[in-house]
Amino acid sequence: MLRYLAGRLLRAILTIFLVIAFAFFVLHLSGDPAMMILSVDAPPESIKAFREAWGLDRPLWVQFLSYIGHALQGDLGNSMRDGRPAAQLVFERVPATLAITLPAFALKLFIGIPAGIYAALHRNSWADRLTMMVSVAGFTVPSFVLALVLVLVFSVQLGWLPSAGSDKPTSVILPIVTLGIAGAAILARFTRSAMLEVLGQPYIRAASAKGLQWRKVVVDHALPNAAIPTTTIVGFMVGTLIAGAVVVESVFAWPGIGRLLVSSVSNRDLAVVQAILLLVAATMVTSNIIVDVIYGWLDPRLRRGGARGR
Amino acid sequence: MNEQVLSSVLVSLHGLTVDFDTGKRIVRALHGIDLEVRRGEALGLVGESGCGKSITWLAALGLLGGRARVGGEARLDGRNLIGAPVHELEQVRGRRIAMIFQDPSSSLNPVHRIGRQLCEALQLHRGLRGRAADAEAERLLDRVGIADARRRLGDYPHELSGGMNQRVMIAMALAGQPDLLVADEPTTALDATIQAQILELLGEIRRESGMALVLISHDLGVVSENTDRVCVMYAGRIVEDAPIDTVFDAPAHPYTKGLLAALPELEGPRRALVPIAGVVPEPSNLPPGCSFAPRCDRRIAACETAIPPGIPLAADHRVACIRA
Amino acid sequence: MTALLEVTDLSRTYEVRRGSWPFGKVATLHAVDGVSFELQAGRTLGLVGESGCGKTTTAKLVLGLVPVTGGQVRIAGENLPAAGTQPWRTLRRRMQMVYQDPLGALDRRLSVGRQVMEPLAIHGLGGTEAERREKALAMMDAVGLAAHHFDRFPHELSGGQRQRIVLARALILDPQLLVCDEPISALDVSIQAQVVNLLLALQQRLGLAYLFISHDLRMVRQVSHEVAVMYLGRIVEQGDPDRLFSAPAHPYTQALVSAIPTHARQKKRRMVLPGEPPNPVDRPAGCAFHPRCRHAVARCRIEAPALRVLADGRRAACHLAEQIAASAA
Repeated sequence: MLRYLAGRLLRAILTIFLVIAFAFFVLHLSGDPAMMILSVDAPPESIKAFREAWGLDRPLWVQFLSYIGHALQGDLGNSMRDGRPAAQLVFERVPATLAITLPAFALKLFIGIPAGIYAALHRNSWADRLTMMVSVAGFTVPSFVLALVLVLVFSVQLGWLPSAGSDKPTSVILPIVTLGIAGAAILARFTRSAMLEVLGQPYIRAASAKGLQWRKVVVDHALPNAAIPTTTIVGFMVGTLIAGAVVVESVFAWPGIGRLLVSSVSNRDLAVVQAILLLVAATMVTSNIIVDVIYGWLDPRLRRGGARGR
Repeated sequence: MNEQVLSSVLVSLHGLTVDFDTGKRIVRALHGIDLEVRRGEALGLVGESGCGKSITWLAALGLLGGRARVGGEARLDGRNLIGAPVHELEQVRGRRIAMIFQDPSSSLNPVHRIGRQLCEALQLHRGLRGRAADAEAERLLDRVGIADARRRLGDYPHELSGGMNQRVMIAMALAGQPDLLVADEPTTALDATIQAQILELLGEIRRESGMALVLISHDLGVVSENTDRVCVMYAGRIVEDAPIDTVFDAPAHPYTKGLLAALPELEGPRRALVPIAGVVPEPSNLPPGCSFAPRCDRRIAACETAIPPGIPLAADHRVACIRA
Repeated sequence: MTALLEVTDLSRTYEVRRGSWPFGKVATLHAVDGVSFELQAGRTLGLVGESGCGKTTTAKLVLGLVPVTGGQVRIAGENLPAAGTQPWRTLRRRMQMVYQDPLGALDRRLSVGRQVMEPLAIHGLGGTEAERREKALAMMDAVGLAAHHFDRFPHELSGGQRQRIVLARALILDPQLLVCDEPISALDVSIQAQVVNLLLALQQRLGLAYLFISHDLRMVRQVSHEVAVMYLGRIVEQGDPDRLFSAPAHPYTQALVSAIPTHARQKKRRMVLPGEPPNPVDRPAGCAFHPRCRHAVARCRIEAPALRVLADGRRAACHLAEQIAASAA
């Protein structure tokens, strides 16, 4: 098991490295940060000075190696806008993002999964069809449209909730709901298909034939098997906890990582962008590893492989 | 013919019908099955795919799911199971009538250990828990011929072969000490020598416990060796119901004769196989009159107008054919 | 005259790792281990055995679908060319395969008529499109299907009809050898007889040779001129079907025959073979069958018996073959 984890860890680090390298080269090749930050009609001398000060005049691969070297020591560079360390800027914003993504995640789980299970157990009933219609709407409507609709209803018309910003305690509600709905919709649909697939398996009928109550059959036999594919999607959602709220944060002017990412990219604030991407890659990769481990626990067929005897 | 003291009737099916609601229309899959199973008897149910042999028993136990509408009667101890409330059926399943299925490896929950699945049945039917349940589970596995039973309790289904999984299924079925075991194609997915082992095991258990057995198969040979009586089914009806020897020596229904003629022999001179012309009709598209008529070489005009009723040829031999 | 198909000492091994990488020792799995037989044109060789005996692998080796790790395959005296090469493709025209699951062997999206025509297009034979269509229709007629089936799709046909399409597709190139891997097990009993009769009629008419692989001994007896019984990658008995089945010379053949359920009255002493077929990776020393054999003696544990010729022309790989055959007669 340890060997397995070590292998995964190695692959994870490689993935992160590739993400950073990719981001680095794309960002550096896509526009001149000096001109973005100093404005287009700045005098050439100040642009040149800026570039020298930030080491942008060195060859690209030298810059890259220097970046990696510093990163390994924990120094992710400084923001070109305000000079503060990028790592610090990014970590400052994490709590704000988690304040909306974590509750949204809980919403997705506790609404999406039960809805999917219910729909599967009552297939083709009106409840099932309704759930599925709502869920299709939930994940096809773009999140900013949904956000704006919610703002229209709850802020403008009813005046219950603030439309943007993060000053009041209730500001948190609309972003959470917007994020949660799309995820719950996807999860509901997915859970429903996973359950339907499992319910069609011979061992479910065999369990009923044993004389087990239907409730027990569902809880003891169906759910543990349906959990296996559902874990993939949930794992993916965990991976997006950090950076999955870009649009929502922008619409609600929420001071989280998403907004920071948007502004850093448009400003070509390279160090900050890279720092965020590093964080996102690390989160994704970690959640993947955790999902793999959970798989092994949920599905004994994946554990040691192969049949004994014959 | 021997005079046997006939034991009492355990299960009787009268006019059992099953309709499937496909959303667009209703298709009748079972057209009124009448049969009896006596205590301790071994009955074979033979037919090709789609004849309804499995559906008959799934319907009796209420295992067909929401789309099926079941009519008629399935009496156990005088009580009708059709339309009975679910908790009553749950009392019957596993405890009075147990069922084992065709593909043993997929009839076991892949994420639970064998021991747990066995103990589940033991707790349900005999109230055994903990150590007592484990001990009994081990005894059952031993009884069905699984070596190293104690270790096997901790195994998962994918770690056992198909033959071993079928033994586990039999052990689970026995946990409830049922009066009747319905075995739905229990050996079709298994190798020939393993098939022989499983059938032998079923025979042994029957002799020891006096349990009745309904053996469902498409293979007349399998049924002939392990049952006393056989019902031949075609397109949702029973076409012949007779003791095993009678079916082989003097089959009355043209379909039964056709099945026998289509089977090659292992011994004796090699003869040409005589296939049954045509194909099994779709349940949604049955011919008027006798369902077998289009393929029958003995049909007459009357066969195509009316469905033949079960005609008793002897005390224990019924045939649904007007030309038998 | 040279045999159409000649297989000499054919072997196929796989390296498997027990346990997960990088742990676990590497073991060798002998899927097929020293199989030899000959098949003449117009004759049928039946290959029987249970799961894991290597019969399907043998079929694939014969056609070159799996590379050989030992021994030789010769078609009409020529060695089988390497797979994927042009000579192999040309040779494949003469050898075709029929599979167990007709629905799986057919493309769901093409009409069955087009699928029968396809081999002609692949090999650039048959002339124009119209001529190919004619040939396909003729082939479908030969297997007992009507012209109106041409435009149907596989799911619109019954199991028996699908298998006929698979046969038509295999036969349109005019092959000499047909490898049939469980061609009828997925069909209903009454249809099995139809398809088997068709196979026999085609053999008569076209002089086809069949390598007929099945676990159904009765069907194998019905169609085969010679039968070979396989166990754990080796042939354990080979010979005339009638003699082989009525008086088996190998204990495993005995067990197989005894396992066939028959009408009780005609049944001989019942012999139930204990145990499970062992994992091919864990092949027992000496005779591979000895752990399950009730006639096993000390010699069987040490020395693997060679496939030798018996008095009546059969071959059996058993030290005690003569006694076994005598006791069963």
